Parts: sequence; C-alpha cells; structure tokens
Amino acid sequence: MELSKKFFLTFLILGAASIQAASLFQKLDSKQQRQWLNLLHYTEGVSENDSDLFYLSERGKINPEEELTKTIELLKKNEVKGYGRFNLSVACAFRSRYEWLHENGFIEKLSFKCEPFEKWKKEINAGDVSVVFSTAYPNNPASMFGHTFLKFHNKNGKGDLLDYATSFEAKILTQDWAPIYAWKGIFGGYPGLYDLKKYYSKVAEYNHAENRDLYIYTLNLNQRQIDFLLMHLWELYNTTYFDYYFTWENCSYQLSRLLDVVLEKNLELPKPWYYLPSDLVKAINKEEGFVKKVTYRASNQKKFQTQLETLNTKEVKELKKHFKEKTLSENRKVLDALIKWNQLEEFKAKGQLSETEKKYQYETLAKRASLGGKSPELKVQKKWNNDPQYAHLQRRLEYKGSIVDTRKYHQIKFQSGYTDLMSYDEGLEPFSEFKFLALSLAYDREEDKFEEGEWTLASVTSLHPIEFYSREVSWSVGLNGIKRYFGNETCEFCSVTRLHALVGTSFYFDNVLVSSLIGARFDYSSRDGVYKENFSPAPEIKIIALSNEEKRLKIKIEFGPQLYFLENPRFNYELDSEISYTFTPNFDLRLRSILESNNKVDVSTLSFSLGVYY
Amino acid sequence: MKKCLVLLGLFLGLISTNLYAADSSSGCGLGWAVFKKNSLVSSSLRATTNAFFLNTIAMTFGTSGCAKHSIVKNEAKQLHFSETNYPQLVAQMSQGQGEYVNSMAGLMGCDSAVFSQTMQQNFSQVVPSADSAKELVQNMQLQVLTNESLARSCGII
Repeated sequence: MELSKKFFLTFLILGAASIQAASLFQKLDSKQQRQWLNLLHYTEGVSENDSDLFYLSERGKINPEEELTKTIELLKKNEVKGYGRFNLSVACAFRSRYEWLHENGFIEKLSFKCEPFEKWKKEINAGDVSVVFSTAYPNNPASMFGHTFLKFHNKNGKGDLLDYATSFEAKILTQDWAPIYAWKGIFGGYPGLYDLKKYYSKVAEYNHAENRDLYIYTLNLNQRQIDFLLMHLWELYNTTYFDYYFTWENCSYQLSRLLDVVLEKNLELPKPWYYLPSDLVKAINKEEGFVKKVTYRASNQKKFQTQLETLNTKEVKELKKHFKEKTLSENRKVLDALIKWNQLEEFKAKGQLSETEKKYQYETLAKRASLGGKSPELKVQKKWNNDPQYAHLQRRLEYKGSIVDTRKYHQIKFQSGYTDLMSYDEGLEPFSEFKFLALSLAYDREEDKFEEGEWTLASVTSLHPIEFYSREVSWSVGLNGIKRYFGNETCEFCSVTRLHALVGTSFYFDNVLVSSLIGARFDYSSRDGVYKENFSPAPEIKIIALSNEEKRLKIKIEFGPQLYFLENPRFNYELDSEISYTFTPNFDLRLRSILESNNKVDVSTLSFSLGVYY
Repeated sequence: MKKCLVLLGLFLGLISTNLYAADSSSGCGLGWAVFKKNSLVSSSLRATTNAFFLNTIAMTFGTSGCAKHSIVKNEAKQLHFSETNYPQLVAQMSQGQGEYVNSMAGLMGCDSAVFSQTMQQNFSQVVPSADSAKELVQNMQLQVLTNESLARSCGII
C-alpha cells in the first residue's frame, strides 16, 4: 500500500475513533461528566495523576473522552491480568471505574475475581469516614499548618484505636540538602502516595510524640459512598502517584479530590494560591449537615495539664519532689500524674531514656498497680479552642492611617498569609505568628505623593510558655522591609531590609504571656546617609507582654534595646504597644504606638488600622 | 476443652518463637518480612499473610476450633499494637482501665473489664522491666491461658 494511502486510512480511523469517543462522552449528562472527570482527577483539562499506569488510552492524561472509550473497551475484554502495579485484572485494578461504568449502564456486570481488594476492604470494614485534623506544631516548620488524614471507623466498633487511617504523603526517599528539599517540595520533586496505617499509629505520632491535638470530623456518608471511596482509594494506590507540591497538591488537597468522587458537588477550593489543611476542614464544615459529629482527642501534654488540675497545691509539690528525687508516692492521683510525666519525658527523649529513668518509670507503674483501683478517665477542658473550622481566613487587606512624628500617611497593606500575634486566636495555636508575602503602599499627605511602604517576605514567631514539665524555647525569625527614621538631609525616613533572629523563654500567668528574647538584627540599605556601610548588625533584647484574657481584645507591649555598634550613636530602643479588637474572626481594629529613640531624637508613630481577612 | 487449651498453649509458644524470629523490627509477623514496603497494599497483604500463616499452622496442629479464637488470629496485630503503644498500654494496665488496655482485650477476644483487672493484679508478672513488646504479649497470653476467670471471659474455657 502506498504511503499516502496508509496515511489517509490512519487519518480516517483516528478521526472516526475520536468522533465516537466524543459522542460517547457527550452522551453523559453534566453530573456524569463531572463524576468521570473526578475519577480521572482532571483539573482544567489535564489529569493530576502522574503515572502512566493510570491511563488506559494513549492520551488519557489530556483526553478524558478517549480514556472513557478505551476503559469500556478493555473492560469488555475482561482480561484477567496485566494492570496496575500488582498485575491485576483491569476490573480489579480499576475497581471504581468499573463500578461507575456498570452503575451507569455502560457495561454489563462482569465476572471477575478481585480477592486482594475484597480482603483489604474486609479488613478495613468501614462503616463511617472522618476527616482528621492534627493541629499545628509551630516548633516544626514542616508542620506549622497542621495535617489532615482520613479515618475509617470499623463497623464492629471494638475500639477507635484499632481503626484504619489513610493519608496522602510525599515519599522522600533520598537525604536531600535542606534547600534542595524545599525546592523539590515546592515544585513537585517528590512523588505523593496514599498510605494506610492503623489509627493508633497516627495517634502515637501526633497525640503522643508531637503533642498535637486531633479533631475528628465524622462525615455524613452512606455505605454506598464509603464503599465507592474505598474502591477509588484502591484504584489510586494500584495505578498511580501524584507529584507532591507543598503549597497545592498536598495532603489536604488530595483528600479533598478523593472525597469529591462520592459527593454531589465538589468541595470548595480556597481562593489563595495555597491549600492549607484548615481549608479542607472549612470546606467540609461549609456544607450543611455534611459533618455529623466532631470529636476532640487532646494531646498527651494537655491530658497531663488536666491531671495537674485535679491535684491540690500540696500534691503538686509532692509530685515535683518525687519526680526530682525519683521516689514513689502512696497517693494514686500523684502516681497517675507521675506516670504521665514519665511518658512525656520518654516521648521528648524519643524513647531513649537512661537506665535510671527506665527503672524509675517501671517502679512507678508497678507501685500504681499494687495500689489497685481504676484511675478516673480524664476529660480535658480546652483553654483555647483550636478547632480550625473557627479560624479566620488567610489573606489580609488592611487600611492604616498613621502619624509618624508630624507626617501623616495613609497605607494600604496586602498580606498573602497567615496570622499574626494580634489576630483572633480561635481556631489557631495562640502565641504564634506566621506572616508571609506582605506589601504596603503609603501615601504621604504633606508631600502629596505615593511611596514604597513596608514589606515582609516571611516572619515566624513561636512563643511557648514554659512549664515545669515542658521547657520548649520561644523564637522569632523574619525578613522584612521597614521604614526607619534617620533624620538627616539625604535620608529622613528611609527603607531598610532587616533580617532578625531571636530566641528565649516565655511564661504565662494570669492570662498574660511574657517573653524575653535575645538575638540580633541585620539591617541593609544601599542608600547614602543610612548607615556608614551598606549594612549594620545589631545585637538586641526584646521583652514581649501579650494579654489575651478577653477573646476579642488583645494587648501587646514590646520593649527592646539594640546595639548598633558600627554606628554613632550606638544605642537605640523601641517601645511598641498595640491593642486589637476583633469584631468578627475576619474583621478587626488595631491601635498602635511606637516610640523609637536613637539617643539623639525620639520618633513616635501613632496608627490605627482596619483589617479584613478574606 | 482442656485438650484444646493445652494445644493452644503449645501453639502459641511455637508461633511466638517463629514470628519473633522472623520479625524483630516491627512486630507485623511474617507478612512484614514478605512485604517490606510499608504501604497501602503491603499493610493489607501483610495482615492477610499473617492470617493465612496462623490458620495454616493451627490446622496442622489440629487446633482449628481453637484457632478461630482472637488470641490466635490476632497474634500479629497484638504484637504490632503493643510495640507501637507500649508506654500507653503498660500505663493503663497499671491504672486498671483505659482505651489502650480495652483495645488489647479486644484483640485477644476478652472481656475488657476482667482483662484490665487481671493485668493490673498481675502487673509485675505481665510487664517486663525492660520495654519488650514481644515479652509483654507472651506474658499477657500466658495470663489468658493460666488465669481461670480471665480464660473464661475470653471464651477459652
């Protein structure tokens, strides 16, 4: 056959096939089309699945119509092996596709064996599904926003701990250098897979080892939806992976897409360019009646705090004495607290206790057992509600009116995320701040001109109150652009790029947190008249007092001296006072006063701002 | 019934030795050694493999009636649970109640109240001074076999 004829025939066949494919897909109603696209994880015309094993047609990643036709064709052939990672039959490997196509009348019921799936499903035996949120762990940047996973509640109800849980996680198989790790994480350099573990493994990891609370949102799904969800989960694991992007295609986004396959309409996606674990929690709670129950599982440390509240002052004193001297008490309550305290120490030491500590731990347990009787169950009373469904949104837009010395400014500030020390605490971990990508534009009323305002690339502050059983450090790092008064001819108010790092301790008493931090700042400016050189390092001390006694009203006072040892004058200090009042979680008013002195002249700034989270 | 109990005891002793030898790291039985990759499928297949493995041995020993009991069927699960949750489990055993000790009772097919009480009363025999999960499981099983009221609550006698 001549080449031109061959080409013509191929063209005809391909053309006919695509018309057939298009017509089949077009036959689907809009609901079916959405479901089919969800099963293939399509977004904006492309599937997010990244393994070739997932696609049965050549152009399945970009052509859902062809994938539909090819899937039906192969299912009709009913081949017994050769599909997915585990060489299964097409109907077994693509369990949810088969189910959906059969339910929608595209293929007859097939006779096929899918024993691994049936055993797997029987072992999980799910009668309910929950989204579980593990609260943030501010001292670990990788977990700063929390984490989500799904829990399958076993129908036999023999114990919550024995249920199974699945999460979508990046598989980091190589020991990458931190910047490479960050780069790969942001730009999809690691594959992400679903994993299935016993729920108690998750509880051990988050509740015990990392002292994070768990919120369990049980979903209103019927048995058919749960079974279909499991079929789809099985299909995904058998056939594909997804490139893991920390900011978007992450644990929570993928769980959201997984749930979409059984829902009447897709869960709402957040507006910013990032998807946070709390976004998934907000999305499921936004649908009326979709969450039928919320349960709280307090961290080990919070349980210990509750235990301490059951002791009187004398017993607390006794507890401390026994722990210090490694002696035993005859008091059940004190022994119970000692047991929990020993546990906290064991997790803190990652299981590596000294022989003396191990011996003492064992003796405490044996002593407690010898006294007999049941210890009462602890009901943890939350001091702060850190349920993320109540947290404010992430992006902030703020208007600020200020008087700097005698000059008046109007400022508009945009902040891409996330929260700061003066924001409403509900739904978040208190005393922590993470600001990123903020920029403001200032209008000078006297000069009648716009000028650059302040900016933040990223700023993280984590203030941990010290307790006798927990001595975690408080710290703060950030890279900001600030305006500073220099008062000379070339530069009255000039912009300075500032990197700061501080570390210290915090105490919490009478609803006031007091932190003392020590560290340094490193200012940079290339303008003349700012610093002698282009840069100026300065060791500094900062004292912070923050009150959150009233939920909506917060008061903060910061004071600190700095030593600009390359400049003249050398000493500088700042007194920064701020009050915020939250009307709704997403709307607040702030008043602020900053007094800065550099031995020569005092500069005061007074401002008020109205901010909206959206 | 006594014959069943003796056979069960022999069987437990034997498989404990075998399983622990094959599985010193994670406590997931033979399945762990076969399916090393800790993943969605391997977890399920591991459980399946362990279940097959146990049942096959049980039938060889002629204890098929007894082997249907949770104490045998869930041996690998008991071990994994104990190893993952050792600090919480032994703490609640000493305190005579709690969800960890209840879950373990469930894995052994026993009444949780009787199980918790027995473990507290016999704490020094059950909980080894070094934190060894495998020894803990063996000792708990021994209690189930030798303590009459507990054995009754577990439906063994």
